[in-house]
Amino acid sequence: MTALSIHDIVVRAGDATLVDGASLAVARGELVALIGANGSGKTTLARAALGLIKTERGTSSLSGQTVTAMTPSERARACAYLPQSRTTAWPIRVRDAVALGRFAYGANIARLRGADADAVTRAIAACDLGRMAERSVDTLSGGEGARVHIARALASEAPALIADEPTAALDPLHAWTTMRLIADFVERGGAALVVLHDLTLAARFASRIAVMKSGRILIDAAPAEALSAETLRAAFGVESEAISAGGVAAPVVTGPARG
Amino acid sequence: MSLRTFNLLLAGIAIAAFFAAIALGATPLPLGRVLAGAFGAGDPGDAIVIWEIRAPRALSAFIVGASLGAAGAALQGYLRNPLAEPGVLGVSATATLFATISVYWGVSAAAPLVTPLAAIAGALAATALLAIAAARQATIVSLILIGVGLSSFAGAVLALLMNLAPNPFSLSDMINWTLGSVANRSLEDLALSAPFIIAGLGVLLSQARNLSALTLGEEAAAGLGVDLKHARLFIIAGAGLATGASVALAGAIGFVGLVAPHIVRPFAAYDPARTLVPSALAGGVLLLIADIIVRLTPTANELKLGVIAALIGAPMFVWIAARRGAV
Repeated sequence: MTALSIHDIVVRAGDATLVDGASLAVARGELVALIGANGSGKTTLARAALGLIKTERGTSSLSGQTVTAMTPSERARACAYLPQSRTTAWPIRVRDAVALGRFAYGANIARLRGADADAVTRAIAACDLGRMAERSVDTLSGGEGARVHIARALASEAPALIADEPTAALDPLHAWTTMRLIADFVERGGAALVVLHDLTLAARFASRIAVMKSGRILIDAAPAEALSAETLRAAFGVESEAISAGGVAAPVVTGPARG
Repeated sequence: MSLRTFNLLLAGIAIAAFFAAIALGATPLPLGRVLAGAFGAGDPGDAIVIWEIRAPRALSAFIVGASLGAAGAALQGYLRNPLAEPGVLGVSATATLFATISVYWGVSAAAPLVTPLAAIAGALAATALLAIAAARQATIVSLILIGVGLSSFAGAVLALLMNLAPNPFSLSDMINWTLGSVANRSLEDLALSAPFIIAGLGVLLSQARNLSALTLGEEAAAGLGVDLKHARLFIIAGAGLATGASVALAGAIGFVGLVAPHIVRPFAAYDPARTLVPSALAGGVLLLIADIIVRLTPTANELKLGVIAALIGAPMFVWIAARRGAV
């Protein structure tokens, strides 16, 4: 059973069509990277997949259940969501921020019990946050903060994860660490849909790459094919060459598309 | 200090301040006479002073402070803004305006429930307007500006009503509303507002977990499983009920809802959910103590509680605003 399946979704805002008939499926054990130019509809598709915005057409289902028929809690237990913005309004403790991942189970972050406490402890350990669990989130660096949000998603123990640019504004090491944590989750049987702008990370970590353009999925294929020079020219308007290093071929952009 | 200890400490201070409020005054009552009078054993005069005058007044001050403290904490948590507060955002002013209108046309004399209901309606309308504005344009500055606009407009209409006041009595009545006071409150006044305040506080407490989740922003909270529409509705209703009913009891008293959450937040690990109860207790204690100061200050005209609250609260507002970023 696919953990996450999007079928023929159309989202309109006023006259603009943000997503125009996109379909995509992510099975357990798969990390699918969603790439595309700014404004191509990646974030809108991610939100539509979770049923957070109204769709004009199409369906999205999580673990075989239609998302619109699920309560917010059921949906959150089926799929964790890391939006692009990683702000915290108050300097709460790291442990409390991670514990919010148990919200959909009815957990009270001030009094975690049983399964909730165990899940939070495991997530903190998995993301190597043990030393800073009692610190407040505003004392963390950008990379540490990103790990707190991954830990929150892991604490939910949902079979699926949708992450919107989890590596934005991170240095190469922290971006790598963040993707490694998501890849570990996938290796343990999770399904992840990750919106990415870093083509090298996409080539390195994705089992499949879906490329979006003008609200449509241009191609949904293995990394080598999805990152071909032709696709990147069509999707981003850039020329590129694939360079092999460390056992992976990743594209290097050489300039704007010719002609 | 653990949050539990801190809450117990606040509750202890509240009880001590409550007894002080009953003991102190024009005729000071020693503790023995307070206890004797309270249980009908002492001088009948003492019993009247205690049950008819001082206890209702002290209870009113505490309950009004507690509902403003809780409403402030909830609004700050919901709007993710340490400057959000019923007074600053114009909720109290709108509630006062609605209450005053009901007084102006004399409907409150006909049906005593009308004034608290009018105040609550005003508070709900203002909070709903703010929530709609916050959903559209979530910047802190625009929200505060809308609140300022709302306050000014309610103030302008109030000024108009005062301008057109048919006689000096209704004018002084309106002035009392806008200045805010718990003087001469009876147990009946309390009984009229208390159900709404209790309902409001109950609704706010039911939203505690949602407030914690909203720390991560609306988008992430929705991802966590928060039903945003449901949360918005209940937080507005809770804050509106608590603020409106407190305005019906004491008129407009500003800044308590700003200062109380600010004081308790470090003890509550900055978690909006854990801030609610200590903020209510601290708000109650603040107003209870402020009202004792008001009663003991020997001025020709009795000082109004709302005036003292504003004199202390407004500089606090500026201080918190200037220190923002440190939260």
